[in-house]
Amino acid sequence: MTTPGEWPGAEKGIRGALLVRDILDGQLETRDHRKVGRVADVAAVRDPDGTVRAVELRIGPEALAGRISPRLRPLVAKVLRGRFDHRIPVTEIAEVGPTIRLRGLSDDYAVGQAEDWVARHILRWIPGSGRPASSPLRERY
Amino acid sequence: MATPTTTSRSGPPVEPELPSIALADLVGAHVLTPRGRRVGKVIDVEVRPLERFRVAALIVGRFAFIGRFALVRGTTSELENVTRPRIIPWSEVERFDGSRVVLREPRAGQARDEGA
Repeated sequence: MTTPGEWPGAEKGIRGALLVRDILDGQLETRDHRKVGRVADVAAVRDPDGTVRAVELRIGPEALAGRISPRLRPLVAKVLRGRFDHRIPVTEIAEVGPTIRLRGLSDDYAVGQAEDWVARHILRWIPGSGRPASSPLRERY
Repeated sequence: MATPTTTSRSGPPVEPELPSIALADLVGAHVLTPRGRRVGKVIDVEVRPLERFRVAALIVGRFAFIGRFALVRGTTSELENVTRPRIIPWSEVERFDGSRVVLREPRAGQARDEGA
């Protein structure tokens, strides 16, 4: 658990308060400048003392469906079975601005696989992609 | 049902045993006094990163969306007062049931402006 003072945003002079709407729909970018999705929701938990704390950023269609209507959330969860749902601890946030920068590298987060799949299975066959078809995706970026 | 992927550089899931609240549900929820009178709608939620990402306050407005269009900016009319959002500390929240936020009864000598 990150304790006050450990949060890297403090070093960057981030103000003491964040607004959830600054985070929702924000583009997530890793330390190696890869875009890994947009924040669909922020999950919070209630501590025994009544305090509510934001704990995770949620990414994926299930969280997004809940934004349209909370009733859709279990329905979409049943269909998609959590396959596209991703969660990132809020303590991974390094900076909040036009994009939300994360502390880790893209390999640290299991998000952005859809883009990887498209690049690996489709884009590699397009002439002029600049790499042999067998080249790993990561080298392309 | 498959467990959603929890991506964490440190590995373990983030407190999965606690029931979670979707903060996106909180935005747009009606805010009511204990007697059921409408105070407004949640237009934003303030989180304090330096205090373990504590939810510190709700920003509540009755017609706050009007203020976002800058139509009433600069006017000194009552309209501006109506559109001005109010900050309600989370400590004043009694419960949130997924669509409605119910506030606590104000303590003696602490009248809440319900007609805002």
